[in-house]
Amino acid sequence: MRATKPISAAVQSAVAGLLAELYAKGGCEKIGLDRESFATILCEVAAKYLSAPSTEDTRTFLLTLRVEELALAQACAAGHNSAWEVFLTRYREKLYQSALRIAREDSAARDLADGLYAELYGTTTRDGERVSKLASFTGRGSLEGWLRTVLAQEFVNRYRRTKRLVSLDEESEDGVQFAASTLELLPSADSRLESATDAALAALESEDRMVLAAYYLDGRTLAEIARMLGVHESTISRKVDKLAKSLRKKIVAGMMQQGMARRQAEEALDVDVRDLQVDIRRNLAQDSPAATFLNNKDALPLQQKAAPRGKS
Amino acid sequence: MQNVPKVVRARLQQQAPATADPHPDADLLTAFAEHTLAARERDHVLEHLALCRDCREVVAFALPPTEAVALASSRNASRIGWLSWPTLRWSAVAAGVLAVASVGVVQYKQRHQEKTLIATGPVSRDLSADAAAQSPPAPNGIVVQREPMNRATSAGRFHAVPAGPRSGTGGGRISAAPHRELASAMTTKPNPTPPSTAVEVSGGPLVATPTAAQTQTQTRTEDQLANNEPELSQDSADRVARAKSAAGQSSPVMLPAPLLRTDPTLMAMAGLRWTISPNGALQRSLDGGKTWLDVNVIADNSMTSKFAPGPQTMTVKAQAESTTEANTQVKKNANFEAKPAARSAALASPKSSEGEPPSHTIFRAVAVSSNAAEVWAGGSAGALYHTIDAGNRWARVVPSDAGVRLTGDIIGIQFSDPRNGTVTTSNVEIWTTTDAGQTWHKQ
Repeated sequence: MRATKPISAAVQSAVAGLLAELYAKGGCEKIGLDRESFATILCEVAAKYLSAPSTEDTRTFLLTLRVEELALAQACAAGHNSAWEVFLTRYREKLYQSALRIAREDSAARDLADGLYAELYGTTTRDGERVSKLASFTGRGSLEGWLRTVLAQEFVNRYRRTKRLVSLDEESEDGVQFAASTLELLPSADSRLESATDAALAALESEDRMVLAAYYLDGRTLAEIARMLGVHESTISRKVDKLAKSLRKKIVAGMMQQGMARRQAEEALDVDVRDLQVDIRRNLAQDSPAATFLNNKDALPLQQKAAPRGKS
Repeated sequence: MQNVPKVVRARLQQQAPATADPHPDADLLTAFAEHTLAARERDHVLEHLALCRDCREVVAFALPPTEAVALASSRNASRIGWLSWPTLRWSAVAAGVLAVASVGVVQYKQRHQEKTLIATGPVSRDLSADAAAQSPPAPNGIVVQREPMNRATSAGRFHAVPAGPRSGTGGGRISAAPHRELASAMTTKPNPTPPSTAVEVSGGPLVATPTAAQTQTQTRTEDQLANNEPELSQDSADRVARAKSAAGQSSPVMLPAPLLRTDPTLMAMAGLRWTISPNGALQRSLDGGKTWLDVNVIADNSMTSKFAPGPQTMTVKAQAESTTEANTQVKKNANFEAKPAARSAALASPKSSEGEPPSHTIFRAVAVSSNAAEVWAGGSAGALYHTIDAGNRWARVVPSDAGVRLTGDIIGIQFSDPRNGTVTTSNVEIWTTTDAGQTWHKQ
């Protein structure tokens, strides 16, 4: 781990005071990690996450760390064979199991796990030194959980790259001329509605916004969101219901403040012109024969004049 | 569940984290998923998660496995509807569990007052034939008493009454089944239920001194079986005859066999099998492997095991590691492969049920006695469970030696007899006991 912030005297003092205890707790001697190296690691971790802490704050922080796993990870990153044996025994199969759970398909899971395993081992070098991803583990959470998170990040990155490629292909098929004509046709949403909605969302707590995003955008179930937040499912159920009702009220109130009548505001909220927008976009995106477009010529006159979507 | 206006979804979707706001690192996301972040840091992460779909996806994937398993099953569940009465729903579940537990405790107390049915003399030929026709015959004069089932199993429940020294060898035999069935010492033919199936109880003797109550119960049993059971085939009858002749040579010095519970206990019977499923669940079959049920050791967790070992020899079967592959292979007398050890939770005492059991144990090793009634099962995070009544009640065992507890994944369990056993873990620890698990020594 490389220090990104200077290490304050308070941090050094706290580390010095707890070093013996944490060194023993971490089992550092068994895995070949010396006290000086471990002290440096603790200082870097504290410096990374704490801003101008007191000695007491640093002590409290250090005591929350998973020192045994931190020591193991850092010893592995340093190339200690005894540490690697322990790591392999404990985590190798879990790594593959987690990858399978994430990727849901055996070959993709093995590919994911093998890729991470190589990064953990340190197949790349920097300035002549082996670089292991384990060096970035700071012990804030469990090592097993950290491995799952890293696998998930890699999986999401891969999926995002694949999706981006598909989107680029679709964009070239659609053609620029279509984009220009659709923008001219699509009615824009009422700006008062949008601003009232933005204001209502901004007034929410971050946890509430996260719940709304996870439920309505990601399609997560109440149980999944509850586990992410460490609460009961019924708590999330009540929260979502309450948020939906309160948002509606706040948006209507916001539009009324901008001069709209209540009934007008409620109608604007219920009738979303984006529905029409979506239908238009869907029609334009279809690879359908010319007859289909002709049927919609009243609504989409420009389509008849549009250049055919050719795939040469 | 009330829906939000589409404009809300649209505005939520259009919001994205500011370019200057980096994604939380893996450590922070892990700590968030494990609910160990301080309040200020948690709010900061939540602020980002409210805007970043990718990080929400990562957090969902990073949840611990038990929650991930529940995630997969809950995806198909309805998001609205029946959850509107969560309190009542959970109250009904709790009341049902309490009622079942109360019934079980009452019945256990009633059964506990019955004396062990132990016969030393030969059993009548008709009785043996009748008993064997139903399920495993009693080659050593084991009297079986059929009792009504209260569990969803296809076979009846029996409590075996050993009647004399077994004529088998000291070691056990393991049938290498092609399927995931765990072989018990009772070797069976491919179709275990028909009358032609022969059951041999190998291993050391199970003998005891008969008492008047036992004889009375035996008589009652004989009457029941004579009225209900079909005749045994000649093959099984011959085996019974040979076993009875061996039973007549019992040694008077043997200590009584452990008291086995009756109804609703699943007593040792030939159809009883144990195995570990590919996903690490401990499973039991009562019909020789035709159907399997998961065994919930945590729900049945009881106090410390009271098993007082006798001189009987425990036949140990080794169970191969369950993998993510399709079939589980049974290895004969094999040491278990090293398994990764998970970080274990702190436990209260060396051998008690006071410690909080893991919410989801992935079993890796199991050792079964020759009569399949006594089982040691071990798995992730030092989880070690013991039953003496074929899995009806389990005791959580926490090996401890000089303040050091067994916390690694248990990957191997071997018992040469009920008292002497060895447990090996994935972090290369070997724990031994010489008193049936009461005390342990770490090598």
